[in-house]
Amino acid sequence: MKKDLKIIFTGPVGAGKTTAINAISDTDTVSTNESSTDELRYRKNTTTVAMDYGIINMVDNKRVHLYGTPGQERFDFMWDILIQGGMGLVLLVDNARPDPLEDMQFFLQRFGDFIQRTRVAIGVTRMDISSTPRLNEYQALLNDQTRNIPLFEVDARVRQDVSILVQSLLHSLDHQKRE
Amino acid sequence: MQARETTIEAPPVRIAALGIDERIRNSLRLFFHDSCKDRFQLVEEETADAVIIDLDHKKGVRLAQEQRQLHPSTPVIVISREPRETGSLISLLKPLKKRSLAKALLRAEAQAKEPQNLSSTLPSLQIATAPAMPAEESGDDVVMEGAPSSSAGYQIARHLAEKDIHAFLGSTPDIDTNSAQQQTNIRYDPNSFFQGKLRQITAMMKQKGQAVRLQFSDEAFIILYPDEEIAQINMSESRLGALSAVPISPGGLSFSFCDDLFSPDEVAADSLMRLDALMWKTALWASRGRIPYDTDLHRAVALDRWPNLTRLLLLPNTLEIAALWAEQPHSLIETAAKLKIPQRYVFGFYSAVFALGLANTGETMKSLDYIPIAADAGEKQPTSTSWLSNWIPFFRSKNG
Repeated sequence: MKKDLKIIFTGPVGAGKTTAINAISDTDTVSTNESSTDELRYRKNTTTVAMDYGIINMVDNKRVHLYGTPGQERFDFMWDILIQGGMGLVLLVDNARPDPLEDMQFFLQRFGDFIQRTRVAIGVTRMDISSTPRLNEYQALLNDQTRNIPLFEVDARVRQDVSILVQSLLHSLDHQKRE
Repeated sequence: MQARETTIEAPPVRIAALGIDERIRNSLRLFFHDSCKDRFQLVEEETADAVIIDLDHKKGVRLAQEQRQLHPSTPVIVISREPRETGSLISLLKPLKKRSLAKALLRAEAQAKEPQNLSSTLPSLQIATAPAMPAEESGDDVVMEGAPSSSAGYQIARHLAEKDIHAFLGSTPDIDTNSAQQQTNIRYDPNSFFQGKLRQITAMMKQKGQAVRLQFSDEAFIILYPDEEIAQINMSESRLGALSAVPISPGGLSFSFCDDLFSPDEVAADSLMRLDALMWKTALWASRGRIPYDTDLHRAVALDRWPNLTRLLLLPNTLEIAALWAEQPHSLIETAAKLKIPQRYVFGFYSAVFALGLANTGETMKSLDYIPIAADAGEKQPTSTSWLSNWIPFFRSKNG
């Protein structure tokens, strides 16, 4: 029987992956951040180059491992490595970016094979900064997906928001049809 | 390209101060910096690892109760002029002393790192609003945790938590589906409650594209804004609950279209509620664990889409039911049997998603394969993933 779970957090740069992992991790997160390039500096001071890593300790020495992918596409060579052995994907989309709907589509396509084998839950962040597009616009795009994907407004700093997102993923995995 | 270096961050423990004025907050900042070498950092509530609450503040007890309810695993330090029964919360007496405050902070830090020690024994808050008898003087004003679970405070808090669930989900026991009488007892007519009126008014409002004002008395009103899908609610939570829980007589609700434009700067943030959250809540109040009249208990239900559950009232097993219906349509009876939960939890959730128009019992669920299961077979979990089920409750207890 598997002892540990591995969950991948992904999404564009600045969407809150590092913050979200920090919010629910039981341990100090390991982060490999470096100073952002000029094009990113207006958004955040550092950006994750390789990965973030956090742990949720469970009963009987079992653990949930949380891995965050780097947000910049130029580092996407790490993604396939990171998702190996992953049980599911948490996708965070930054609603304040120029085209967040396109961002969501990009990541759903990029991780399409992985999602097909597992499950995904989507959190839309920074809706307090930009209230549009609204969730129903994301939902309209998700109607093309064969599955009913959890999609919530999320504040990555708020543990309960991140917790609900991760729980929706875990419950989806628990009830998934045998395929 | 490889990562240049790996660093292990040891961030300060984030402390929020609730019900505490700016002057004291500044003192705390200084204390954290000078005496604690920045081991602690004052932050807003949303990002806190632990909180300090002044129980003498007019909202102090409520803040503590909300904190315990919303973030049961977050350590809480309460400060007060007089000794109070605070259960396992970390309690400090005023005036605060450096040593005792430092000890309390260290204790909160330790609890933040081992939250299961908190949540496993703390289903809800244990605070008496009246001062308790002073404890024996020990020369130390740090009151360590350890109020027995049979204490009066614990019992009262437990009772209040159950009352909250009762208000939304009722207390009806599981029904025998062969009993026509029991089947009748679990049904209600949404259209005769505020829930139904709200749905009708909202539909008209969206069609007209104009705000609607519902007036209940000189002071009490609700304004619905179509573009923002926001409700401005000028009445207490308990009055809204009472309004939602009893049938409204025909013509018993007056409303008018108005030219009000939503202006968030002029409205207190705590009087605003998203429209979907209002509809969800009023449906739960009306349903109290019952289902709309025409619901077929044995017909499979699917979710058209997930409700925005981070912004809606979350009741027991909500996420489990939503995930099940998103993955595999099940009837209401099958759902309760499969998840081994009271039927009223399923009925309440169904009524809420029905109010939002997300419950699908028709042909459009074609993308999901409905696999009927026998009622008795519903007790069994798929063996290949059922191990996950053992994890999720623990995860929930740790993370709220």
